[in-house]
Amino acid sequence: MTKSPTLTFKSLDTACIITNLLTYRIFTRIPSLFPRTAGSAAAVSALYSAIIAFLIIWIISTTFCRLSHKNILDTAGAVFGKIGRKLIALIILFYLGISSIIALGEFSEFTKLVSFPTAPLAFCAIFFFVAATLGAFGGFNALSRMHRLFIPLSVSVLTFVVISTLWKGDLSNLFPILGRGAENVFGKGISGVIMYTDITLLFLIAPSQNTPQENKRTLLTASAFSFLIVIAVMFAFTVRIPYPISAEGQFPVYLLFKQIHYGRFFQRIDAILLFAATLSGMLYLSLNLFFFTNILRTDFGLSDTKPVIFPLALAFFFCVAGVKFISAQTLNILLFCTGFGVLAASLVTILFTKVRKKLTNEKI
Amino acid sequence: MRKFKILSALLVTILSAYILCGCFDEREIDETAYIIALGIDKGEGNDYIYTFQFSAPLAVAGGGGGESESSGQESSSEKAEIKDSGNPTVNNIVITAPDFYVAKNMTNNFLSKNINMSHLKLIVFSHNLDSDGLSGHSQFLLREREIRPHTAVAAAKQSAQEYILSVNPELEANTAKYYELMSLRSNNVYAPTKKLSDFVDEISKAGGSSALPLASIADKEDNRGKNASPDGFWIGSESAKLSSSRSDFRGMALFKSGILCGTMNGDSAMLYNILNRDIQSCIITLRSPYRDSDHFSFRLLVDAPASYHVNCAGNPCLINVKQNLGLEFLGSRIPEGFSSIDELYAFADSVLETRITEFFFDISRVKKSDIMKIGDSFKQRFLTQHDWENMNWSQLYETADFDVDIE
Repeated sequence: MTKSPTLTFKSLDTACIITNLLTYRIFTRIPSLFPRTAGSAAAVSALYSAIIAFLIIWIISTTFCRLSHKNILDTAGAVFGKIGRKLIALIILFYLGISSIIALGEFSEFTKLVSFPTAPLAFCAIFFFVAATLGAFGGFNALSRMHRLFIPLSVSVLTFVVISTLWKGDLSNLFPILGRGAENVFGKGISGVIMYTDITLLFLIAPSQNTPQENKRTLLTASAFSFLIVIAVMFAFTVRIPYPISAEGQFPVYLLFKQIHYGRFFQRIDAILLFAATLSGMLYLSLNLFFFTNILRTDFGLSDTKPVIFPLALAFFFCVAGVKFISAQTLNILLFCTGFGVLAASLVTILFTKVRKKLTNEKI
Repeated sequence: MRKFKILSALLVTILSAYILCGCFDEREIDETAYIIALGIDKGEGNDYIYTFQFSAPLAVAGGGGGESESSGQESSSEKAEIKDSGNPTVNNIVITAPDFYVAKNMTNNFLSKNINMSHLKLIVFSHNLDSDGLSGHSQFLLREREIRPHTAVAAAKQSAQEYILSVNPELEANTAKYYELMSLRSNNVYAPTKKLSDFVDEISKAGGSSALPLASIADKEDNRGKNASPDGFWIGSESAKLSSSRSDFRGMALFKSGILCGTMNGDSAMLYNILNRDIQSCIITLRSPYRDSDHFSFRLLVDAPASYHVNCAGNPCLINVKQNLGLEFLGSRIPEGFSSIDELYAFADSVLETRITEFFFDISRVKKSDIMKIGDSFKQRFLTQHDWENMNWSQLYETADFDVDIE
């Protein structure tokens, strides 16, 4: 029987988990949606969606961090009853499944692009499949320690790429400042929040009862730091690669890395990127798989998670490398729908909790 | 639990060994042929003529090109031809095909080695390449995994094939290094340097302009070396000529929206380099206004790139160009006719101002291409892409007046 994970939010492990959850998508295709929708205002659009995401996280965290030993599902159960809890658990499960398939596919394609051009996709996917399975087997504590070990490295690599590309950037690429128009930047730009929907995984962990203020501070500081990284990468990307080239890029961060050129001896730094991206992807997939099985246990009557991990990972693997019964476009639409669904469900749960507590004058 | 840990450790060890040895995508160096230069010309109909120049590493190392599959021979088939350029360190293959990848795959018809482009140093486009050919090729070459964004790009004055076949470097055994030094070094004042990524960035914008170095064969240049008509007090590089049939980089080709707008000589390329601060210093020579046979030289120190201010209040627009330059007279005494060193500097200043103003009129009114990216500084005044496109910068630029101020 696996024990439900509890965390003290002040720990470095949590900060690293938050950072990975909010930044791992930099390595995928998703950041290219910013220049596609906003044009030269990609950095402004990234900033806008980061502000919205930060507000959502702030609203959720104000109440959530005070709920001792209750994760978002327990809270949903208390507010909406058993059916409400199961419904939200189903939405989260659906999101985790879609997100895992997309992440596994994108990270495998990324690895293939950077290092194994002639290898089949399945060959690259198998590494992530094995890493995710082992990670989920290791349990939450092992995963959080792995985050503490590797995420600072990943962040250093991203900082390196920002510094290396910014000094040769052209600030005129940021103009016109509103790019493809205000409605595209601020209207369609809201879709950029999808970059951060994985933060809801954190709310599947029950916070410790000791110091809600510290929990909140850790959560918000780590989130702000992660947003800063995403915005900095998007800023460097916009400044270095002008629109419309930036909108056509498949993996923006790879395009950015290709631009790094420190003389004859330091021009192919893609290997470092591959290292950071695979670590980030493997840790995310492990965490995802862990929470998927954990929800099955807590909400769907599974007695032990371990026997399910391998078949589940195998199912994700076959969705990516085997018969593709869902098109990539449909998967992306599903990701957006479920992502926003998960975020909305968490927000609604917290708001209802707050209202109910106020009505009954209970202390949260 | 202990068994599980042992099993995990074993699995990780085996997997690491498998990953680290990296055998899946193995590439043996002696089974790979490296392309170091690529020429693209327009062929008949929809075809393109691709010139692949391969490095012969053993010949570079002094081994006499023993591994070469085609050294010294000249054979031809209907679509592919092996050309002997007289340069022992390279092998050239010319293929006519409708597409680059068809041509690249065709090389495998007679080359046993795997083709690799990770050491590609120079891409030469023919001056008569159509817009689709130029932007299409440059964009997919930039996206090609093996090709680096820092690969140099040039436009051929004759044909790309002729240029590549004529390259036989002096004082350099390694042709790849020759290309690298020739096309990307900053001390070639008479040609701009352009990287593939910069070129694609520039021509992909709506109405985007770019300047490429002009790759030519010296003895095919009829107008070089002849005493050109006096160009005011400026002594140009066009009066100089190489004594042998060397390939060189001199002048620049101007492109707008992927179409060649014209070419400019080495002196204009030098001004382009100065205004962009692609060179930090150079030497200019002027003719004395008092005696034709008197020449004197100045070292020009470029502190910063030129700044532009566009004033569209009137019609036509007025573009103010401000350039900070350091001038140093390279002589021991003040030339005859000048009363003081200040007068001499004032004279040099006025010649430079006139020359730069002529340069701007030439690129805006004649060549109609904004290679100095003046539009980028004007673009900052607009809120959206739509507003900026509605402003029709091309039209404003082509009729604008220039006010050059050298400090």
